[in-house]
Formats: sequence, structure tokens, C-alpha cells
Amino acid sequence: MVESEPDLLALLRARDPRGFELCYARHRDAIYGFLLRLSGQRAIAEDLFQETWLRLARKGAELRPGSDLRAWLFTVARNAYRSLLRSRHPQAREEELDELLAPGDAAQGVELSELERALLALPLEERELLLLVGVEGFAQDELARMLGVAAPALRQRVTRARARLAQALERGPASAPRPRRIHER
Amino acid sequence: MNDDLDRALKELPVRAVDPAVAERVRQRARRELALPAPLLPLAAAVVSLVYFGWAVSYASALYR
Repeated sequence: MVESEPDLLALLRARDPRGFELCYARHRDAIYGFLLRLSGQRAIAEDLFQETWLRLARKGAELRPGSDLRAWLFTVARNAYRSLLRSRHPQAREEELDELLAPGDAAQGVELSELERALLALPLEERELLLLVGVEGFAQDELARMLGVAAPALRQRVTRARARLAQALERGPASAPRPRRIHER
Repeated sequence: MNDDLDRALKELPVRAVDPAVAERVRQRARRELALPAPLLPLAAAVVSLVYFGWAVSYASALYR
């Protein structure tokens, strides 16, 4: 029975399918939920979910001993979403990307909680931070390493994102700048 | 920081992936894993070539 991260990494590095299976069982719903809440669109979340796990299948053998597998997976998922935005709108400014992908018609959407709607209305960077810290439970120092930013700067950004989310919730759903739903298809 | 907000974020329900999608992805990944390691770069090159060909034909159709 493989329980520890080093054992799991050893299996992945050996391209042993058990390593993939264990990792998939442990993290697949978290990765999917992250992508769904990040994109607000089920079809995109499913595509990027596949991309993330295929990348593990292809690159798992190259992971270094001591790698943080969970952080690696979320980084791949996050980068996949950003690459998708960039590929669709190569000329757009960074802050416009997320808005450009937002669907207009929510007729087939799944109802979201007020909190999820407020998260989707945040700018991409703030939404990412709150999903990773608040929902997935990454420590802020760990996240700073993941994102390659200084820890104090990251703490500041998280504080700002939380404040903005709290404000959005206080004002209520009608005030959200970009109310969206998660789209089924 | 607002503790209620932290708690609410932590308690957001799990959004589970559709089981059919999960199984499809698992099978595809298992097939990737079954490829002998030296074949992977070759397979990636073939996929890239096919994708590039498709992108070129798509772009030329767009501008035709």
C-alpha cells in the first residue's frame, strides 16, 4: 500500500501505472473543481482536466524526488487555463483575457452558490489565489513558491482578493460586475 | 481576515468530475503510460505535425 508522497513519486518516476492511479484517485476531483470554478465552463474544465492528467502521464517520470505533486498538478492546471485564454486572444491584455472567454448565455448553466458567483466575478488572478488558498488549502508561502512571487507580495494580493470578495458578498449578487454561471456544455 | 469567509471557502462542496469523463481520461492516460518511454517524443512529434497541419488548413480556410 502506497501512502507517502515519496513512494508515489517513485512509482510515477518508474512509469508504474499504480502511481498514476493513486494520484488520480487522490486529486482528480480537486483538480476538476479548481478548473470548473476557474473557468466557469464545464466543457473547458473537462478539456483542461484531461490535459492536466495526460501531462502527468507523459511527464511524471521526469518529476524530481521531493517534488510537491499536488502543487505540480495545480500549476499545470492553472497554466493550461492561462494558455487557453492566451491562445484564443493573443492580442488581449492580461486583465481582459478572462472576460473575453466568459460566455454570454447562461441558459444551460448550473446554479451556483452566492459565493461561487462572487468568485467568478473576481479578476482571474484574485480568483486563482482564493481558490488555491481558500478552497484548496495551500499555505501562502507554498503558493508563493508555486507562483514564483515573493511571499509578502503574495500575502498582500491574497488580502486584497479576500477584501474584494467580502465586499462583493456584502453588496449582494446584483452588484457583481460579471455574474456568470458554470455552463454544462 | 474574515473567518466566516475563510470557512465558507473551505466548505464549498466538492465539484466531482463526471464519471464518464473521469474514466475516459484515465484510459487515455493509461495508454500514454503504456507507450515505451523512447517512443514518447516520437509520438509527440507526430501529434504536433498533425495538429500543425490541421491548424494551417483551418487558417487557410478562414482566410479563403
